[in-house]
Amino acid sequence: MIAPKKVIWAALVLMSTAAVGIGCAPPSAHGPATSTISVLLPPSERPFWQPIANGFEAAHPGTHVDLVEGPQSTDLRESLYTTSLLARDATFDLVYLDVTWTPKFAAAGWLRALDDSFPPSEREHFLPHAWDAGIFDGHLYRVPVRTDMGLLFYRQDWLDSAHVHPPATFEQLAEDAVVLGDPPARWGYVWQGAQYEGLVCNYLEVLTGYGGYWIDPETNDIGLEDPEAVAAAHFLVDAPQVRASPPGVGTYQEEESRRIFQDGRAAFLRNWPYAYRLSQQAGSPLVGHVGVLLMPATDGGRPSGTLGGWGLGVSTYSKNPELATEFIRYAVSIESQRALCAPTGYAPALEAAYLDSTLLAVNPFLTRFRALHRHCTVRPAIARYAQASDILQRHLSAALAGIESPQMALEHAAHETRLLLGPRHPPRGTAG
Amino acid sequence: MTRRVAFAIAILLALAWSLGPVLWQILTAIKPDAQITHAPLVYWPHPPTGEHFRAIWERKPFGLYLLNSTFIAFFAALLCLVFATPAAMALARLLPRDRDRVLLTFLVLSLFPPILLLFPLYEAVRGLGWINQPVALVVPYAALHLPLAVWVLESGFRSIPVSIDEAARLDGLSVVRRLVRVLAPLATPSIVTAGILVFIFAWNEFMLAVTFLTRDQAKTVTAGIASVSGASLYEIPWGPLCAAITLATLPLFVLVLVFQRRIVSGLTRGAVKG
Amino acid sequence: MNGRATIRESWVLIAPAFLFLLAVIALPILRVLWLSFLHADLVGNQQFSFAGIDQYDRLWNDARWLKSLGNTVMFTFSSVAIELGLGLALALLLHRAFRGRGLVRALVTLPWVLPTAIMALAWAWIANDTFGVANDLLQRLGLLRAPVAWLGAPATAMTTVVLADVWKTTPFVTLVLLAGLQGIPDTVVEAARLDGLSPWRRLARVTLPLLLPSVLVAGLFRLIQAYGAFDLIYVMTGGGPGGATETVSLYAYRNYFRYLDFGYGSALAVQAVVLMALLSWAIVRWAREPGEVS
Repeated sequence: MIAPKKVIWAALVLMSTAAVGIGCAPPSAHGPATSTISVLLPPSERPFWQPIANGFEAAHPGTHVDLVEGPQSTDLRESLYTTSLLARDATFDLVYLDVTWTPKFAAAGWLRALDDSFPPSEREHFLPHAWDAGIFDGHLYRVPVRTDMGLLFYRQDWLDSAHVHPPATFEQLAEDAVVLGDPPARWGYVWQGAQYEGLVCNYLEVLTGYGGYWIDPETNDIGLEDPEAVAAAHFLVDAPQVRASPPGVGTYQEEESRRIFQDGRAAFLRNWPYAYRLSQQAGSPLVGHVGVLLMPATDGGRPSGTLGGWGLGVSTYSKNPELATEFIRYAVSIESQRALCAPTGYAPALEAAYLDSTLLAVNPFLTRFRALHRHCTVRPAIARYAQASDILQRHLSAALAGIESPQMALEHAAHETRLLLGPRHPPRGTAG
Repeated sequence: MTRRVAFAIAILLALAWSLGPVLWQILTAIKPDAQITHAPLVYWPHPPTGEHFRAIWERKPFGLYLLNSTFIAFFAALLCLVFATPAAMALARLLPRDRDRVLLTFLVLSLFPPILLLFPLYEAVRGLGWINQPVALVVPYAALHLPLAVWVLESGFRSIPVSIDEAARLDGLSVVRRLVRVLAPLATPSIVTAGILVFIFAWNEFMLAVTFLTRDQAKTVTAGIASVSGASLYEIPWGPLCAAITLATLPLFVLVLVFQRRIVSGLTRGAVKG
Repeated sequence: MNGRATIRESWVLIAPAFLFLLAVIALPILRVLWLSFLHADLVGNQQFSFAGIDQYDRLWNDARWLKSLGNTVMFTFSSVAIELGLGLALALLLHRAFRGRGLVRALVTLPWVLPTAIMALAWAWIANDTFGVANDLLQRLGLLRAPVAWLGAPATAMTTVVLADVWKTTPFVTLVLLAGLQGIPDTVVEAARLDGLSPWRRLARVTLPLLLPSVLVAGLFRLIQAYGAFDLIYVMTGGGPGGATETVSLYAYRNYFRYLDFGYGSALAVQAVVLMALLSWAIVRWAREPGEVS
């Protein structure tokens, strides 16, 4: 009467029916036996990599370059790479790396050192800051493809009609922001204050302007309690309080701030060059009205912009490391730089690209950008950068939200960072 | 009369609360770009535009995404029911003493934040060679929502008067036949309900979908929306994004509209305490 | 037909579901459990070593963990409480017969079927101080004098995140309760009415007790989901401002995928699950106790 066997059979039949249904998956689309290398790219860039991949395939018959389109969010793509590399997975031969990922991925043993194919002598072919960002622990792990830096954009027309000079000091910037603003219709200065990586980029520029520093990667020294660091934090925290910045600046990422500027409602905008590009697009009301500056400085500090940008590394688990390295070589050729940067307006990492007539014709801003790029400030190349950045983000955000005073926030951040990084190292050379 | 007015106002408030943000997304989807973030706010686009819908449909294989999502969510719901139905039946009928303990065990197994199962599941999925195969999502989705399905079905079965299947048992029917022929038809509404609940959860899942299916042809709607982009990494293309949300939601709305009678009647049975 | 045979046949029916769940979910959980006893910090040291309870020890000195636990409890309980209340009100409303009820029910369900990660982005913009429609509407209605940066201060940020969650998941509660309501025989409520009980008392004395099983299902599953909520908060605030909305699952996720510290990330997750398991057990015990009589 009771028939457990039957039940099991019934379950098995049901399961296999379901399995057959599921099994009818579209087969993965791979051609005949070729050597394939693959890379995960943001969807905004993938179309512009296609000609590069095509060119590479033409030059290397029998190879296939698989450009996988990942999610648009940088955090999500990082977690996709992380998941795959953690599983020692050969899915992605190449890793398309943000500047801040390199130390961590290299420390985790996920990237191949590229010193043999790209010896230090090649540094001179690239923008120095972009090249240096690929070095961790004395080895090159990432070859820069395109570079980026934080800049201060301003409404040239507003400044002109108010007879105001572009600011050279923080006092002038704060003053101009208040003078040119008419809140809430017009704001003086918009930037990114949300609790995320961008806040650290904003702070770092101001910090460099005041002559302070965050972490010295050589010695593990932490500069967050120095008076310069406190002054820099005060500059950001005070901005919304004196109505130079909107009250919600502590919730802004790139787009929130750019849209205000683009809508003609802000005099100064700290952002990446993409904001400039969009403001100068056909149909934009800001065409010809936008000026570009570095973040200002006081005595003892220097004007700067935080270095960003993307580059390629080779995964430790790649089954085709030589081919992958070849592809990198091809991706930083002048033809490839042209293919990627001409239609998009990205800033190339290759020095020669800044003298390329095709690129300069479509993007005359490049000449100015090259000059500004010398003044980059870089985020510390330490393996535990993600934790250090999160600590700083949390406390700066707490200061902006009024939970902690700037002084207190930085003391906490310094304390936590010290716990994270351990004792300070003696300067290089004295260690055994 | 005043009570009817109060009732009508309450319904309108409920609709406004539920639909407000949805409406805002739909309006954004038909706004020209410059009006999307403009102050003062533009409520009604002048003129409305279909460019974002066109862009989404042309740039992305959105039809394919919809098909993939439907396929995956359907089989996840089916697989889930295949396992949950017999279990729920047994719990409702045969195990009065251990019932709560077993139900609680199922519940506890669903406690783990799914986000942290991502990595072990990825390893398993890769080991089985399922990357970029729909089955990579079908199986975890079915398992993740099995506890909910068991709970809903169990109370559904329990609400069916015992006398009915008692009679079937006396007729000499085996367990399987009793389940298939007598109880299951009576419990159709709760089975449909559990199926729909799992279907919707599967349709909306994001992190596993993004991680396990990276090929464009294999992507689900939520993963497809995550790859909607503007001209640069930082830009958020609100118009196309809202158009994509609208497109992705339409099929589900129709589904809910068609099945809501069943959902509600299914849950009705489900909730009666035995 | 003896009792033992019945029990055996019932286990045969339950076993497939149980084994399936065990295979797909339990094995990964065991892996996480194992990792929580290891020093598994990929950035610090690529060799994992046994840690005993070191990772759990770390918890007590971690202010960020305590803060995130507090945030999680705050988020979970306030959103589930509001959802149960609002869901009950909506269910009572939609339980009454009126024209177009089917359409209204489907429309009210709509928030639940929208993809969370994308709607979270939309909510963040709705709460924006310059372009946010929330500020604009509240100002037009005269409820607000100046725009508020809802996600910019701890209290308003938590409130906004909770509201977004309430908006998103109340329909789930409504559906379950609506069903429960329809399962209550009209005669019972009618009898109470004839006994002269006021509407509120009928609700409190008759309807709600009969509705308890549905409330339990809706409440428990919502509690679990809210406790593990990730994408909503991750996208809306990223845990900000100043960590005021960082939840345990966000913190655990960051340890895993951002810091590559699997030992500690696992310990965070395990500890969270143990707390929640105890809580669900207590709730089920409390709710089922009077029901056992039947």
